[in-house]
Amino acid sequence: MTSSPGGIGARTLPLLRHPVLRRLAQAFFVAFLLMVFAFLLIRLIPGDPAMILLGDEATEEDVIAYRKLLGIDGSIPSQFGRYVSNLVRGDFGVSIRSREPVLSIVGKRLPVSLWLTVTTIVMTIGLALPLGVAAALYRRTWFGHAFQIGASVLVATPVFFSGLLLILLFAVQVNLAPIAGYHAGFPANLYYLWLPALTINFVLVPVLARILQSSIVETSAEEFVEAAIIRGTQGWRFYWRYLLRPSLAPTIAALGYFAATVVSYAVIIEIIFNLPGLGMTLVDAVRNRDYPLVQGIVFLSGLLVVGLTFMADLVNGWLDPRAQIR
Amino acid sequence: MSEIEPLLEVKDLCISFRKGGGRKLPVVDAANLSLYQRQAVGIVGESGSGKTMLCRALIGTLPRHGAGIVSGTVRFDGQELAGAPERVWRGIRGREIGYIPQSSLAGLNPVLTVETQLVESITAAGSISRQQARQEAVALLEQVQIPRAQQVLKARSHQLSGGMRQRVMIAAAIAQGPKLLIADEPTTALDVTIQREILSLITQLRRDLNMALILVSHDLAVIEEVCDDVMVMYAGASVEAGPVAALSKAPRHPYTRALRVSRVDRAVPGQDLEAIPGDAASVGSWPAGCRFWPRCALADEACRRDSQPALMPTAQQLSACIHAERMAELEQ
Amino acid sequence: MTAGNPSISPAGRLRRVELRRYWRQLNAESRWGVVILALILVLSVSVPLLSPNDPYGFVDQPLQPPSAAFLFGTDHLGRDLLVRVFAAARLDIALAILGVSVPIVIGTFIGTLAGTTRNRIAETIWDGLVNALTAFPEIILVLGIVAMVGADIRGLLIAIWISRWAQYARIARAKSLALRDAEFVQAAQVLGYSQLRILVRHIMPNVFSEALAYALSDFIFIIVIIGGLSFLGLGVTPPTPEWGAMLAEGRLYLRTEPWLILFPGFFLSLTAIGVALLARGLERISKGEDE
Repeated sequence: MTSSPGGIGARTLPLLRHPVLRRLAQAFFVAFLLMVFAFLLIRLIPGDPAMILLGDEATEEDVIAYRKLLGIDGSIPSQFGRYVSNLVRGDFGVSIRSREPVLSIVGKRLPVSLWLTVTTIVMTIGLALPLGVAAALYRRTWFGHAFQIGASVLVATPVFFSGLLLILLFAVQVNLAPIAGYHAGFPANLYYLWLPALTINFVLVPVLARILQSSIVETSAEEFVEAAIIRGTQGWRFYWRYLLRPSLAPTIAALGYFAATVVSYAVIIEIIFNLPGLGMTLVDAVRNRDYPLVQGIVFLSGLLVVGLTFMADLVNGWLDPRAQIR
Repeated sequence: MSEIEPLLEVKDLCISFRKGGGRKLPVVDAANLSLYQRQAVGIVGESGSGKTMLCRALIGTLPRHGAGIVSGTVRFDGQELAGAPERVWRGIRGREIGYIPQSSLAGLNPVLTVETQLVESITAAGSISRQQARQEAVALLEQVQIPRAQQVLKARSHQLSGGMRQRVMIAAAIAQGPKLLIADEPTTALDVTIQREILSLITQLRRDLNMALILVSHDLAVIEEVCDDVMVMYAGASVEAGPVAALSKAPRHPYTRALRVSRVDRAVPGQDLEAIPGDAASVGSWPAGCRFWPRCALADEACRRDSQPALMPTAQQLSACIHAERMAELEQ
Repeated sequence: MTAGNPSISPAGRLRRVELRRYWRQLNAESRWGVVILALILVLSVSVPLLSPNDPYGFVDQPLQPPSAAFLFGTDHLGRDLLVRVFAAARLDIALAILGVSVPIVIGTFIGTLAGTTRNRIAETIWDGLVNALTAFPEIILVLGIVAMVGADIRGLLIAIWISRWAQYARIARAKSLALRDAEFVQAAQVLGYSQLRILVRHIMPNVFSEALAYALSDFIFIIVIIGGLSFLGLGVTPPTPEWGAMLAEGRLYLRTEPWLILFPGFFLSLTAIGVALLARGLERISKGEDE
């Protein structure tokens, strides 16, 4: 692996010249700032949060106890210090509703969301790869034009509408999926997950397939493709080594970029399909003004995206050595 | 008169880009070239003269670039290649004709190792074992004078210098022992010292492997160094062809003469470089008559009126100038 | 030609000529976008105006399928779905425009300011801040802010404003960094104009045009967020006619009365598709891909 000059930290710490370590340091910095934002979130509440939760007739002791529970007693710097040190020790606070630790609620609900995310991404790759390749190879035929129009329409259709349409089609008209609900346990849970995952992919696949398509078109004009044709490379080897592999990097990077979108849409999808995941927990928490639970989930979702982006970066570096130099 | 059949003969070749609505945009019109076994021929011309498209016609990749042969013939080793199906080309490319692409610094796939790509070249010729192919790859790298061949095999494009990349491209082009090697501007992106090394490497390989060579360049000096014959292209047409010595001593086309005079290495310090007046005729806006007349000092009414002249024999070469004889007189 | 029509003033005629010229410059995609958006705008203005029915009022028996009397049918409370769909169009489009316009101004201003520093440490912190803010999944951040500020239209707008400005700041900073070295800016510096004047008069207008291009695609996203949160019951709430809220209400009748979701969903999607076509068409024109 080569080292490259330039970039953040390259001049200060020799260790950070290693691209992977540099990315990791950036990820940690961003994670710290996520903490700051999550901390500031509760400060957006107009007025005294304890009073809002307890009402006007609350006693002095109750208000003080609630402030402690929400972590808003004492000076702002000391509040922040406590918040950070608690988070680092894995203490995300306690749900106001159930008095259960936030982390244990998240732990219970996370598997459903993770299953949804994994099913979605597997489906994304399975659909976007062949579609993108086909759209690139046949871009001047009717298929290419149909792909462009179809992609424009699908991308702009909100998931909560396409989700309802898919339920109407697959669960009401033909009985291939349940209307809603979930049962844990692989592989039985796939029966409940495939339609929600397909719904998210109605938005995701067109975007990624389009990126892959234009990337392949760009690659095919490269000199090394001509060189490979001339030296007689043919068949799957030619398509994989000279068209697909050099084109994958932007698509994988985009997949990392759209990780946030997947997690975003998963919230709405969980409500439509009645999946008891983190999204549903979050929406319930918003409805119940369960401030610590909201704060915890917002922070963790940000952390999840930072982690996914970091992983996409790593895969990218492996797929395309050029990416590390940039 | 018994004459040996040329290895490659291009006659009155016309190439057009295919535009939308069935329109065509000619890029090469009346290109002529002949080449014997083991001979080295240079093609010289400014950018836009059609020399790269001519090379692509010789390896059958015009359709990839949205172009095709309109008329004319390309005979290679007794076989007609103009309009040949892809199946025929597969037997020609790499095996019979090796090719070093233009801007070949981008000719290596950045995500694959040198080994993968060399082995591809080697195994395309016939089925041999992985181990054998690897050994042959090392031998090839040594043949193109790359030190530490084992290390270079494991490297990817971005880890190699420009000269190294060019050597690897040459190794891949000669892997299947072609009879003809085509090098399209093989040294333009390189330092002057490395340029010389690459040129002498190409010359040496040609002798060792008994290959014919077509060297394309915009620089007449490069061609004079390496080639026996030269063909000069201007605005898609062959305007002069013949032995290098003849064209350099007594050019019979004003464009060749202008190319020679504008050469940097002939420049006298303190004196302005005599550039060719006017702009090169660009594709799609070739003038009527001889295509060079707007920039030519000898141009007269006949040059403007008639169509592009065909190559005609003069002293030791072929020239497409109707005033070829007058040029001879002027020189004395 | 209407050139001989005396009712058109010279100024009016000029504007018509100009409009026609703009139209000619558009490609097929952006023309479709303009047609779709114009159609929706005309309908959303005219339908509630011309219809005798009130979007909030009971008009006839509930859950009627589409008929000549009620083109889109009636909903579960016996209201005219046609009027409600286009009353919702007014609200959604107005909210989306509000949602886009504040972040574009704030983000462009902050981003341009940030583009005027060349301090390495400040740059690192700035990158981190923007990366962190954009790392939060968009809808989750909006939900988080709505939870704090309040689950109503006001809370929704504030949440959109807080969560969207960073994208514009990122674009503005990149553009103003490039512009700072541009010739006309250096010329202004040589002429001795003040920093502020250069920023406001010379850099901002150029940055703004770039931000406007992004605003079109952001518009789609924001109209989806408005509908999405209202769908979750955390934005615009019934009985106010809003596409997402109407989908949430109609969802209960999915099996038996699917038109309750089909009409609002169709026009919401059509609006987004219209903007998407316009955005893509304009992008391709600016790249010079089409004639």
